[in-house]
Amino acid sequence: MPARPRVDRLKTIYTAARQLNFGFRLEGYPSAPNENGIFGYKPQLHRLTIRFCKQNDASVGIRNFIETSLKDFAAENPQTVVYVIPARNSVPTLRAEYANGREVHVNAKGFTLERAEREINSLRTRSGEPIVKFNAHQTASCRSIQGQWSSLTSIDPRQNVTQLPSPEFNIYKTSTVSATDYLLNLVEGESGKGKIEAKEN
Amino acid sequence: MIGALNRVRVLNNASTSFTCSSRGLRKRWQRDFLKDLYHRRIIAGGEPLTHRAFLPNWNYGSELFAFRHRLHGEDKENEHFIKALTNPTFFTRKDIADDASYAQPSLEKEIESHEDNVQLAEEGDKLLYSIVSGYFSLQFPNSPSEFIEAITNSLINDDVLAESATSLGMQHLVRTGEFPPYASTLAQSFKACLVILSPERRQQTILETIISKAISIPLEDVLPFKNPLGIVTDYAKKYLKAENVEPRLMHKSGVNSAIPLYYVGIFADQKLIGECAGETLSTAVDLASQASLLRLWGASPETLMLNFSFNQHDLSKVAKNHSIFDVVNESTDLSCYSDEELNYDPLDIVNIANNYQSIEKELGRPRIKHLRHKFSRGSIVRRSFRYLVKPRVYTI
Repeated sequence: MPARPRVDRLKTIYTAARQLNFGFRLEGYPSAPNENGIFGYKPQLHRLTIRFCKQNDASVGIRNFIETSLKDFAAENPQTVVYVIPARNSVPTLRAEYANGREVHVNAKGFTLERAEREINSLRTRSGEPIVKFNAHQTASCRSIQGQWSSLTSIDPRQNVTQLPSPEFNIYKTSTVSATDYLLNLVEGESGKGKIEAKEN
Repeated sequence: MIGALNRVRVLNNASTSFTCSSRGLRKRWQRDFLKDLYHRRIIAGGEPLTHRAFLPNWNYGSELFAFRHRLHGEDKENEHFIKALTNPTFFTRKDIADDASYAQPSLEKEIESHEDNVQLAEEGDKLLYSIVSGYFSLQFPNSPSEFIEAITNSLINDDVLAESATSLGMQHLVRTGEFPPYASTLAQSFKACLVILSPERRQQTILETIISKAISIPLEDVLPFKNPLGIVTDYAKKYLKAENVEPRLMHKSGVNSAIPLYYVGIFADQKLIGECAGETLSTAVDLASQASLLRLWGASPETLMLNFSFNQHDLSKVAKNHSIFDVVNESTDLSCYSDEELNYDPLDIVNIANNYQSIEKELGRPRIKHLRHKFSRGSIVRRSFRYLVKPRVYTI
């Protein structure tokens, strides 16, 4: 049997894979390979190979792209090597190789110039990671800014040395303010704590 | 690879790599032949690993040009990089030694030089060390130089460098005797390439490729002290002018269960300087002390990029931080856990799996729930609904 290169095809694969037990490959979180973007952004596309036919109609868009936009593309992306391979009687195709070693294959049959530009731009901006459905639209390597909450986070350590149950720790805590407390807080705010203490005495 | 697609009729254009296993049953008389082909392929084994240069779409000069731009080295010419990418074992390789033409990966017809990268790699090693430790000295100014040295060494080892080199595409460009290139070869070539770059660009490259990996280092495992409480006490006495440093139990939970929790805080003069939870009291005290130590040193993933002016400094010239021996008493124990001790897991799964027979003899067979009847194997012919459709599996 001929060997199959490990190449991603950009056609939908979800229906087939879902029936098999490869569903775990269809979901994921946004990720940047090789810690890209922390100190500087590096385009992850290393090599782009464009195969086309000089004659057939299917390669029209690719041929136009090569005539018009390829030079600018190559100039703007000096870190990417572009190989252009004319081949007769074959379907035009784009193959992109990325920094993480993965390859992406696009069947460019029947592309218009505009479509070819869009696809090639999409290949340029990809990270090379597989296309997955995002479970969340963001990720961060920092797990928590203010610190992770646990049920022990805001326990008063005095609880450790009092005899429970204690009326002090039996208060029902709520964020809704009662009318009395609201007025008391207003008074407290205006004239300071002294007045309240004098009243209690 | 691309040429191969022309020779073999592509059977199914709309297929993917991992799901396109077969086109279907095809004709009855073809099946025996195909089965035989399949078995022959299995016996023949996988395709041999070959260098990327053997494919038709490869031009060494262009690849080097692109590589230079990835490294911010576009101001230097290809020849310098060829020297940096050449390992001395390359010339002992059989086809090069015989002066064969078109020897991969660089189509030796054009390249005449016989220089190698050994000296460059040594220079690069020193430069890399100074720049990386300079960065951490700048970001963690209150940490001792031993800590900085430990982080630097964890980032500069061969495997990390080889990974960075691979992400830049160096594994296809390196000229060396063995294939695939060893991690040490890639690391050596990477260091050699760094020497060739101009200083500011070198700094930028190191920041992007190596220092960005520091985010995933667990800082408490860099210098994993066996008795950190003594060290924290010395540091608190010197820098916080504390007289009394003690660990106190803040919370405990599940003491008689399989997962006990002891939450310990380190207090310097009754002020909390660090806290952590642990399975036993002693582990919790150690972890809390280590956490307090890192806080006193200002070393955390959040402060890794605190000083944003790192680009304005020449990182190789940053002054060294204080030494831990200046702060700590002679009697304080500074020993650290080794890697095996750190990774020690009392539950050795491999050992358990190997000795499963003896466990089964003693405990008997577990009552595993068999689920074979829940999966339908499908059918070529039409069968009843009940035969083909098995209940959907929700949990296993």
